[in-house]
Amino acid sequence: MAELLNQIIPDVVVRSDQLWRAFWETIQMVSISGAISLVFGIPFGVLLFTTKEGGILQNRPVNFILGKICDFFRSIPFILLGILLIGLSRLIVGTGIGVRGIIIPLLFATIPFLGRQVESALAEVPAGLIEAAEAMGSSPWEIVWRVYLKEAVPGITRGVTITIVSLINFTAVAGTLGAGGLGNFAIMYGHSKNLPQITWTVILIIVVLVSAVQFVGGYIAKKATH
Amino acid sequence: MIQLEHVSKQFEAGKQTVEAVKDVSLHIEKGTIAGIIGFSGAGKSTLARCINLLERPTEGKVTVGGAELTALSERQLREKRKKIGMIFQHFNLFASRTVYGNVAYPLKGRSKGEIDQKVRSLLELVGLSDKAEAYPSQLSGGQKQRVAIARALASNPEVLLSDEATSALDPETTRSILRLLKEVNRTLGVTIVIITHEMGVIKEICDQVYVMEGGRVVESGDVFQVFASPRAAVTRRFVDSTSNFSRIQELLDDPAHPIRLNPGDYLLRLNYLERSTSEALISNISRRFELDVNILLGSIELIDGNPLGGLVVVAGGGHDKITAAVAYLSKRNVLVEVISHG
Repeated sequence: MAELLNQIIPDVVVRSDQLWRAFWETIQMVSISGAISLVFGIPFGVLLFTTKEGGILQNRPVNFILGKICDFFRSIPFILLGILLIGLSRLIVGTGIGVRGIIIPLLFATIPFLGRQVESALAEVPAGLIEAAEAMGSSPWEIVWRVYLKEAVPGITRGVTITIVSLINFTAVAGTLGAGGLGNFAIMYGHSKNLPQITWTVILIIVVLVSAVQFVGGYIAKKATH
Repeated sequence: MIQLEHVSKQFEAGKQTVEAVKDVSLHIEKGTIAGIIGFSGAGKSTLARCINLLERPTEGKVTVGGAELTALSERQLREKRKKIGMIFQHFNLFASRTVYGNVAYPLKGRSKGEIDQKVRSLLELVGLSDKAEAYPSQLSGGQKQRVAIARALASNPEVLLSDEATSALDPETTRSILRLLKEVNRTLGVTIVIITHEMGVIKEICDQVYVMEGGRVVESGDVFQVFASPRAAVTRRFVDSTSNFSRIQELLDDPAHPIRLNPGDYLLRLNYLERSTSEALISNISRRFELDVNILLGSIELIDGNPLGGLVVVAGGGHDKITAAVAYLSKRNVLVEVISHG
């Protein structure tokens, strides 16, 4: 096996230690910012949806402000968002580079993204169910927990899946901003040193990673659909 | 049990204001089954939603079980709503929960044993003990509505609101759901309010009926009385819709002219009230007044155990004889209406 790989992709085998490190950095970036995004993105989406006109926590000013914040960060291309937030990152985590330094920009990109995904997942919960819950004397928060979030599990899972896939995409871009990871590895060797084997290997790894995320997400969403 | 006083509800639709319910006052006694009937857009669903304040009336007072709901805070209102069950046209079951989970939904906070006992007994009441672990998507419409009824009864309500609960069901299933509601009413003493556009539903189980049109209650009373002598035109249309009398107008309008009236012929509708059904009235009038009476349509219904029926006939014999016959029939508690004459 090692012999075979050495024959097909010698450029990669020589740098396998760096590849492993880059892979590990990507996994770290995706899992850390993914986990934090879930913690903030789902409540953000719930607020975006429920404070809307006619929502169970209707509040126009809050909805307006949240919507604008969301649209602002979503409209900035990630490469510019990363540059913009270097200062903030230094302030919060003490550095603007490496895996640590890129977490803050990644969060600002994924939380609004996931928020919108969750918002549209909640919109698919039939209004009749909310009415039934209200008629049974459920409070707005009870409706959020016991009706919206429970009924929207398949939709939210699909939203989380899409978010993680774009997070993987962002981490590759993050490579150009000194964050390390597979993107950085591909740019440093594949592009700058003109080693197409490196580029193709990284692409292959990312395709496998994305497919795995899609598969797991799809499986959970299917399991949760009754 | 349920008292509405001068309840009105307006909706703002863009720049327009739609008045869905206009100054409705009604009183529904404890333990009765009351029907609210109207065509779509008559305001009946909005009125029902005003009873548990899913829609807050723009004006008026709503009192249920002695508590003035319109005066309560949101928190107090939520407590009161637990005593007002509601079922819907599209069932509104939680797709992510099993039948058991749906019925257990309102019971949160109680002990596991208590919940289990309650859910099992309710599922037995609605005849779905074997479906506890099924998901709503695996059930038929009638079964879904049974689950919804069990769920609505879980918090031991005093009132059950049924908003077009049988409108999405076939006639056979409708009848079985209505039977179940009647049983719930009898055995648990739950006051039931039924919103429907089908007079058949009213006829089947209601004690009282309220007829709505254009946001107002245009006619009300006990079901037999309203069926026997409907006053408002809309009530007449509903009453006719349960028999084949509504067809007479179709027959008259039909271009093929299946009904031909000769000069001096009258097309009459005779409504039998109370016990007049047992007399041989047609033979009587044709003998006494020398009329030729041809029966086109006939129908007898049992409302609340009382027979109620009528005939549509073509009577020939001239104006004077027919007028005399009509007077004779009126004295015998038969309501006569001239539909058309030749």
